[in-house]
Amino acid sequence: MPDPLPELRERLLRAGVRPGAVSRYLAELRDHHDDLVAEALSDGLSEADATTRARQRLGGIDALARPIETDRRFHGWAGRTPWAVFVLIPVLVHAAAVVSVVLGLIAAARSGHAPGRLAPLLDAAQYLAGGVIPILGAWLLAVIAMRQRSRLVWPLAGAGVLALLSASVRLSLTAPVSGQPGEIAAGLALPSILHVLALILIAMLPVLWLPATLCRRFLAAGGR
Amino acid sequence: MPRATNPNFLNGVPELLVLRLLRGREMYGYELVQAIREATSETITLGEGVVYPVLHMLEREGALASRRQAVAGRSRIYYRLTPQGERRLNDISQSWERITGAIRNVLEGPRHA
Repeated sequence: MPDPLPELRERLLRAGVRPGAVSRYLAELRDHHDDLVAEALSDGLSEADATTRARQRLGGIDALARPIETDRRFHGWAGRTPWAVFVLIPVLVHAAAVVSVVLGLIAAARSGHAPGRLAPLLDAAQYLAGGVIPILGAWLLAVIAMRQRSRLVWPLAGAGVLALLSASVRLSLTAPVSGQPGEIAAGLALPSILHVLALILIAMLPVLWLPATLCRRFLAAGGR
Repeated sequence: MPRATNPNFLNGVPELLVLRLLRGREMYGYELVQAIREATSETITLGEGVVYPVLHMLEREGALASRRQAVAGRSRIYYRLTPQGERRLNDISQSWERITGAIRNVLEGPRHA
């Protein structure tokens, strides 16, 4: 009789149950199983018979999975509303990050930096908003998707939207010169396809280093 | 006025047993299942793992509190009843007694004068 817990873990995660709830449930089941085995051994059963009896008393996979699978209170947001977790929230966080970058530029411009020193700051801001933030965001979405066995389409959609959005952001800065006020502008423009493709490729680079088993598990996730 | 219904009266059995057995004594899952087996003379036998979703749901709703304790190299989670759990136990017990009383009346058949 095979150990049912690894299969139970996969089934619950694919059903959208929160990884923390799954881990706790499995840890308690594992302890319970060990107690049942110890009880059976003390009754004089062999190791193999004790394990078989323990698994029978613990319950089958269906019986163990159904109460948690069917109770939405155990489900995480990524399971219940993947569109919000993988698309809406990243877009909002990216917008908030761009606003923060612009506010940072305004603060730097007001602090009386020489115009020559503001140009590298603008470059850094462009680099952050157009490259670093979306790539880190896409990596984070991939981690969430792997932990929760989400369908591949969701992190890909999120990464794609982030890449499009960040490649569309345009920041410009005119430094204040001799009494003339400066100007900081932020807007959206048609994105460069090369920029979008480069972001998507870089966002997918870590997949090359993932163990094959993890990749297969990720690609096999298809319940939600 | 709509009549109050009790569709969950059978589903509520594990919850009732868990709350009642944890009244006044904290226990971890395995201990609790053995207590259920003893208290019901093994009349009620569940897949033993099924007790954990009930415990987690009751804890989430504030009826139970838990604490971890390391015992013999393992981390056990002990559960105890909260004041909210006491109130819930009283409510469920009263409902259960009404239901079992009604069923008993049916089983005993109509009384004739």
